[in-house]
Amino acid sequence: MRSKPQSYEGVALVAPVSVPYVRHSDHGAAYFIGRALKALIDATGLEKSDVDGLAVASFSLAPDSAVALSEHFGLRPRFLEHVPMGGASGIVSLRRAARAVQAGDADVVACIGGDTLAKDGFADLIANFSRFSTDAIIPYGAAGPNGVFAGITQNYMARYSVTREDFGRICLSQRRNAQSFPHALLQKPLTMEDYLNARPIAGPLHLFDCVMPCAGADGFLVMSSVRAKKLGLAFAEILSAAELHNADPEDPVATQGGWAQYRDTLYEAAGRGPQEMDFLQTYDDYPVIVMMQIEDLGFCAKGAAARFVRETSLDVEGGGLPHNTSGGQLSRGQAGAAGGFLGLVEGLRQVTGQALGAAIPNARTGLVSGYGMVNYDRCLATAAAVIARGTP
Amino acid sequence: MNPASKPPSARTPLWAAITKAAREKRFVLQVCGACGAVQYPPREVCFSCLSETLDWCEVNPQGIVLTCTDLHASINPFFQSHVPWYTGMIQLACGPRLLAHLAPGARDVGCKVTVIARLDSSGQGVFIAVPRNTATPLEDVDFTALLAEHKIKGETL
Repeated sequence: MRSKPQSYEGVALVAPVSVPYVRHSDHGAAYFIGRALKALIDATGLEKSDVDGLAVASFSLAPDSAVALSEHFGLRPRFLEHVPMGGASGIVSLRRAARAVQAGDADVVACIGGDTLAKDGFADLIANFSRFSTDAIIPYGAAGPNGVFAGITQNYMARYSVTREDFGRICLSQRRNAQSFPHALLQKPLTMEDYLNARPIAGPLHLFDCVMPCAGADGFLVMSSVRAKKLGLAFAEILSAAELHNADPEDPVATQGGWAQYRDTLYEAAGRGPQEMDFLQTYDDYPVIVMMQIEDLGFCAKGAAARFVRETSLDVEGGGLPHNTSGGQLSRGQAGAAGGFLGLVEGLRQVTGQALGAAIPNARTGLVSGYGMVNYDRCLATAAAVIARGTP
Repeated sequence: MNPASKPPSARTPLWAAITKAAREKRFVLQVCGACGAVQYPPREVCFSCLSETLDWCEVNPQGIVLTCTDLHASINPFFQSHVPWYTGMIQLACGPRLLAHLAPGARDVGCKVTVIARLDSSGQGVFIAVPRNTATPLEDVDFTALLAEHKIKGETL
């Protein structure tokens, strides 16, 4: 019997910020992470010296780490985390920072995911992503994550009778959601015909199933709710949060990520179930992974996500389940580790009434999930959090 | 295509044993000296019992195709000039899953295959899944360019 985690009571999430994404940049990662830090300070009226904790996720800092950023930014943090967990890094950073604030190890923690992308940066990233992929994935076609997720998609389609059109519904909805989001790199309306006729990339994956690598940053601050109230800041609370890594090594081909193993305790701790979520922000590296999150987080039965997306609008104001309401990575781009923050930061905007694009009507509580790090033949890191509007 | 373009040559130091065996057309993986678990990708300690005693052994090369992918885009110029390129995940009878180049006849999910080890033109050992119990001339299948040419001319399995 595992221990039951303590609650996140008394912790506030404030100041969701996004540094607008750009396709390529000659700047270093510190440029985007530093701009996010500045935006966090500007949004809250805090002094830089008030930030005594830093949690950073980035793929492009090397040879630096989060430690180097303390000197670069002139910070003196007494809590410092480098969270190399890609698509799970936002929620994992939140969990680390929240515990630090509860324990008194820090008062104000800046959580930032940010990356730069030089012209050949993406090829370099995937060629050196992990030891297992260097030996056992890259030599076989050098297709990066597309090759792995083509296999996962193919297997899922066959097992659950899912069509490309079913995936297309997710991609089209996210593109509609991106229309009003000011920083989405891809806003051109996408039709099902465009989607189906896109050029092939790998197996069943075609162009619009894949995210566009880019540069940018997203972040938020973690502090006590007492402090957030004193500062007069809109804030969100963490009703529950969980993570699990290398959850399903026995699946011959991945059909799940790990969310199903902790969803019951997640909802129990939150005191709310999936039907009470005003939105869902998933990690959308590929639409098949969105379907797995919809299933494994309890919005429908396993294998029923295709039917779910046929019957349920995922649009911001579609009256169904608002999903990836800023357009997600599929429309905004994937700014490296910022992709692991994008959904969380958008969720924080929605519950604190600070949407940059279309606002979900009366959004009070929502679920955010993450998925990251394709080490060999699946991603290993998963996380999820239920967040809610804080009571002033 | 640049005639000099080759498949990626970067590997971790652990891969040297696979390349050495591939030169002799032997298929070896690490087997744990303590618990017998077969390992892949190569590891520093056993994934099952954490023993550091991992021996390179010839293992059962038979398996089944779990996924088959036609790649149409690659970051590597060699593969980019040879698309569509076929790879697939193989479930080996001896335990691990292994990504391999797929020979014709092995390009369907569920195919029964044998995994063979050869040197590619970058000089590294690579794995190719071929249909079980058939003699497929590798030179028929774009593999002349993939593999170290002198090794395979006129060769059948």
